[in-house]
Amino acid sequence: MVKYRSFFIKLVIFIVLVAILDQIVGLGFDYLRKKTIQYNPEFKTLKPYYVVEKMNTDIVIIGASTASRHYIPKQISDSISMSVYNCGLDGCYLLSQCCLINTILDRYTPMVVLWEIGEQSLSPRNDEYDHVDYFFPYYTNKHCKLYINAVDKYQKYCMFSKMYQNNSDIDKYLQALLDKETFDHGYWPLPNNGKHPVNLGKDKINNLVDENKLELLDQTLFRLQDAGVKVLFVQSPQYHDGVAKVSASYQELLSVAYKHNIPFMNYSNAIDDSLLFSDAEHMNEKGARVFMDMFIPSMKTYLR
Amino acid sequence: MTFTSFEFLLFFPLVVLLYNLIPQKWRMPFLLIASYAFYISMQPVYAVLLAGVTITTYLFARGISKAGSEKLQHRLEVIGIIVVLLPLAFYKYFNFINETIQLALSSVGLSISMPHIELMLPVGISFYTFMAISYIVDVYNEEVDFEPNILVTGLHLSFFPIVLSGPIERAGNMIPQFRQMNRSTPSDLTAGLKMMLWGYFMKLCVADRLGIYIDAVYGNIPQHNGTTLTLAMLLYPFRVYADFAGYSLIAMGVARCLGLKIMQNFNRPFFAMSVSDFWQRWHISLIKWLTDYIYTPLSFMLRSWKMWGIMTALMVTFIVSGVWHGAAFTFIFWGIFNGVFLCLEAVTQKQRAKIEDKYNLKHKWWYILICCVVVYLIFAFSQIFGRCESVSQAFGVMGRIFTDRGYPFVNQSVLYGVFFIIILFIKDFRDEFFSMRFLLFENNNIVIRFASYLLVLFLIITFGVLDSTQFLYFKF
Repeated sequence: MVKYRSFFIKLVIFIVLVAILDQIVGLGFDYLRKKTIQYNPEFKTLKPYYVVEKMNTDIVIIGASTASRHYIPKQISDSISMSVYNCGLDGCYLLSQCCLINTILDRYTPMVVLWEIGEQSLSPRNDEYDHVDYFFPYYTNKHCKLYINAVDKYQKYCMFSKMYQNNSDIDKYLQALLDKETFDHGYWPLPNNGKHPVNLGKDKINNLVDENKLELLDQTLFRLQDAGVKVLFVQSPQYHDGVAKVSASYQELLSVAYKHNIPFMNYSNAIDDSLLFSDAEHMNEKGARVFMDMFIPSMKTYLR
Repeated sequence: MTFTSFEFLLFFPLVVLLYNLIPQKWRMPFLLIASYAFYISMQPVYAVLLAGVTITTYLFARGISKAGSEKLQHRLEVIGIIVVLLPLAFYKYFNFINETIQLALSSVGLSISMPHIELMLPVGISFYTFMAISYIVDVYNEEVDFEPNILVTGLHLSFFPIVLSGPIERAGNMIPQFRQMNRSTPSDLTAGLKMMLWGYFMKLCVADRLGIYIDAVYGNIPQHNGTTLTLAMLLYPFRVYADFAGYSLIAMGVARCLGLKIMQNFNRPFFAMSVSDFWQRWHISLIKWLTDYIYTPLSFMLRSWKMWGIMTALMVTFIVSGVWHGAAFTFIFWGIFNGVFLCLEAVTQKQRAKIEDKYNLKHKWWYILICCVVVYLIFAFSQIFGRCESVSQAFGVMGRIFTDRGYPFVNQSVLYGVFFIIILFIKDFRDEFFSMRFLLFENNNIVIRFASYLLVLFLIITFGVLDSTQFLYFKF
């Protein structure tokens, strides 16, 4: 019995030490994140944190990789004399985008939200939570908590650990400390390689609508409207085969836009020059400039 | 539920706690129920297959033990092995055999469509089938006594730490322990938790970090140059080692926490000085099984062929090993590749031993280093067959490694992975050459021990890939 007692005492001491280490590591990572954002705010690996903590421009661009690659903040701000930040995050889809907007609204109220939306935005996806870790440091925020806890039934227990919250984050901060690479207010251009994209994309007809996504989008749009924020839905050009927009997800998006009186600017088939695309989903830098030339005059009309 | 899932972190302590609290006579049935619960959480339907194989094994072992004549015993042994092998043959090799027949017939101008069935491979079938066969054979050879309690046999084949990916345990080691079912001692718990901690480090920090890079390269071979393929080829053995040895260590640790000892499955294979030495350190339970049940009887049968008999036995053994690993020609080529090198070693063994003794080479560090590097490269090349989808793809990769140069593709996963390989290598190096020095987990000073546990735990939680990736050997 003495041996068992000694074992359990040591086990309890070890668990206490783990808890203490966990808190110390969490504080260390929080400090590191704040310092690196201060030192290198435009660095690519820090973008989600910069958007949540610091960004305070008049116009906010929201979306996934098509947003981050297609919208050039400088071109927009030069034409409209308002500050612009491209908050597009690769691999972050509607649930993540709603979480991001709500987190931004908790801190300040932008004047305009340009929301890059796609016909599959309301469809269920397997990779919906691939970048949920961007929001781990902000777990105390109710919107982030809701999004994170939806990953699976055990996620909320994992989030007790600060070490877990900062899993795989160290290289983001180290890169930001060692590299001074900057972007134009969140815009990540794809290079003009002069090659045609490998494949013409095939339009996917997905007739599934995720009701949770629909409800969250509705709530977020109501909140934006109550705050007096102007919202534009935009679908940027794709190198696709141009099948008619018949999916249930797309029809639902149109209904939502109509219900909230949101203009839906659809440029998905506006450009068919393959040399302006890096792949079926994304334009290269040259293509993005052409798109901006088309988009900005119409945007100004809607914002008057 | 797997070892890396959250549910296991709840399941495991609960099982250990209840196991130690309940009366001794109930521990064995309790572990059996827990083992089946563990298996059902992965593949509910195939638990029926596991039970079927268990009952079949039990009945044939019983028949052998009660048979009146040697002839009847032998017949029951052979029939028992065939019957137990049938599910494995069906689920794993049915489509492969049919495709091979179809290919052979089409090569002579005959076009016949063979049936193809989409089947999910029952997890662990390769492992528990081999355990069942070894039990039948050991009962026949009177190396173990027949176990009259079917629940003990059931636990031997379904014991949850080893049912999914081994080690391929022997009845002679496990059944006596299952009969005893002693409570875990504090040293069992401490030793077991330490093994689990290091096993999780190997799996989550080394194997899965490297896996992100290696899968990205092998998933898009045409896009990568020969230098990148070389890097992936060189890192892949570490990935497989960390994944499989990590799993085995976790399994050993879980069993040890229950007061049960299972066999070591890896013994620092990258310090082997010859291919034969390597195969005595890598997947020890499988190699021992193949040695005891295929190589030794076959080489005895062919003893009149002298060296040719040994070489034939080696080639057959490794082709069987290849076939066990997967129903594809790539695995057969893998087996042949390794078998050829073992044969070369067997043929040149006397001459090499003479030279090594003459110049006392085995005590020279540069000779040890060269041998280890050569053995590593041989294994790394053989693993190209294991990783590629086809033999032609594997040969294509090999060709490009020697011809296609360029700047390698590197991402942060490979940088993390290499950093953790260095830690793993240092630990194995210490275990191999300085086992009683530079102790951390085994240090007498509790501060050093706790600091090392905390450091490893910090590395696992902060740098490990925590999104429940599969263990590689589940697919076998």
